[in-house]
Amino acid sequence: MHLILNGVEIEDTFAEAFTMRATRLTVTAINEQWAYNAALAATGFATSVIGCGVEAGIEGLSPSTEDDRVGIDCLFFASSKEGLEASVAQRVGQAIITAPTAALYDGKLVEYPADYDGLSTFKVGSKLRFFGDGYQASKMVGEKRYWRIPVMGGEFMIEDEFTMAKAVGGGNFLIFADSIEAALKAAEAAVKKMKQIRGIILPFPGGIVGSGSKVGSKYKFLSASTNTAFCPTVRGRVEDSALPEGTNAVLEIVIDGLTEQLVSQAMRTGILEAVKVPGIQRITAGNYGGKLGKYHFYLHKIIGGEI
Amino acid sequence: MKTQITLRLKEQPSIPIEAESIIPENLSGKSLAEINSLPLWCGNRQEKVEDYFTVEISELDGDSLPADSMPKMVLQGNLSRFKRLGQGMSAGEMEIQGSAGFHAGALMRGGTLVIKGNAQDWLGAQMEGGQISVEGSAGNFVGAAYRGRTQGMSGGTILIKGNAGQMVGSKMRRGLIAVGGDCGDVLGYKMLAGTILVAGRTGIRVGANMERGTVILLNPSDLLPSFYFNCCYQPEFWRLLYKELQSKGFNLNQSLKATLFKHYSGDGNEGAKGEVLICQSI
Repeated sequence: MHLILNGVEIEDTFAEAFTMRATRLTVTAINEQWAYNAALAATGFATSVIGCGVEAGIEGLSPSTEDDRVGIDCLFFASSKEGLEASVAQRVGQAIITAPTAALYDGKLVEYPADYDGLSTFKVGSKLRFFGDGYQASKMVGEKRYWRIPVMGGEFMIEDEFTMAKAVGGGNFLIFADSIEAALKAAEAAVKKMKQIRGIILPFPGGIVGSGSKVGSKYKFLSASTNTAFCPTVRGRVEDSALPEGTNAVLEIVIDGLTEQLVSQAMRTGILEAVKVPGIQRITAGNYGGKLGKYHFYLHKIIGGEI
Repeated sequence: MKTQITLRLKEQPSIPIEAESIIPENLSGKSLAEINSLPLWCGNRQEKVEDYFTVEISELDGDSLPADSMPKMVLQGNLSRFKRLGQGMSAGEMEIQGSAGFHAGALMRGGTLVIKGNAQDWLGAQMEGGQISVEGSAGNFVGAAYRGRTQGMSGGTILIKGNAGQMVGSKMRRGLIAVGGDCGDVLGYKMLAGTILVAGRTGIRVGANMERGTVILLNPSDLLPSFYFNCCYQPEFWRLLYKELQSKGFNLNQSLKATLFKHYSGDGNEGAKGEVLICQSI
């Protein structure tokens, strides 16, 4: 079945995504700039679990914060509970404690019902408290425990426990275009719209992947290498090129989301925006034949609003 | 529909009554006759609830209240001669529309106890959880440890709108005590952890022998020489505590939300891991 949107073919295929563990961190600070500085550093170099151990991104301003200061919400996704715990502790230790006036709270995961069996908690504050070198103190406010760590700027405050949930990582779609300018313009427009959705992140630089990868390589020491099937400059040399003649650039948008519905909504929003740009030829998606990932996002179903 | 059990005082006892039987879980599910015959000790004489109270069971309006929830207890009259009201209660709601005697809410583990009048000594002594709100004033040893015990209050919240007596929070282990008025000497004596806030003036020897924990004073106070001044700053946890107090109906001036505090460590005789914060805005 052919699906054409605004003259752009939507390929009858699916994006394959995986179960991941996710948490939301709310960074507060004396003003938005310093909350942003902390959030940006903590979510930096977190494009792919393969090389970074975690995928992270900034969602935007927190609707409300525990200390009533300005806050920024960040989402972190990792392949396992242990991986998420380790990455969050490392990044908070290096990027948020070190940011002047910053404090860190559990951003909660309100997207899930309270009885969702994929919810759990993990310790962050009590792991990082040792930075206080014996001068740290805990404080119970209501039913929650917080840690107060003396730092040069005064005191770093961090919540003891954070919420973790089973989430979805690796939703994606690819944009085929007649030029890199057109591909980028479409991807940028899609990202701008998709970022308005809470509960998702687009972990790559600016939300866009310029160099997708495939599993494996001709070199034994590499577990992943450039996705030759989608590289226009070797289209004539590779046997399995996915590119039709006239496609001169491909860009991808990868989506991690708290729920299947959020990833689907983000993909739909992005695709509908991308096809508006002149020069876009086709929208497709990346998968591994459906054998690896639990979640399959069929583009036609998504556009039809079935998922 | 939720029920309310009202105990209206009809006769003042000649001597104090031991009234620890009057707690929500003890009255829950009982008939009027059973409640009337609950024991009260008057000296060495065992008497009954009906000897001092008129008991009434009524239904409360409101669909949101589950029928199987614990009944609300309301006690009316000057009960300052009734000791141990709400002692050891673990759930439910108990409102005293008047004053309460010694040990009100002592050893409490959960639920809410509201005292519209005053409370006497040992309010919430060694309590473990729940919330006590006093609209009047309280006596000595609020949330404290009983003689011979090593730990006082170990959880829960005590909010006193008026004044409190001496040795508030003595040997306190966890929880929150907030006093809207003044309090007596040796506030937070031998405190082990937890938080005490006093909005009014304090007596002498604040935090004497405290090991850990936080005493927050919204009015200036002289500290013992074994407390060391550290700095002036805005602790982040204060914003959270301010919100928590507001949410529990303990209102503080809005300007205090982002106030500066002088931070002291002490007691130096006990390792100086405790802290006293003195507000700089008043």
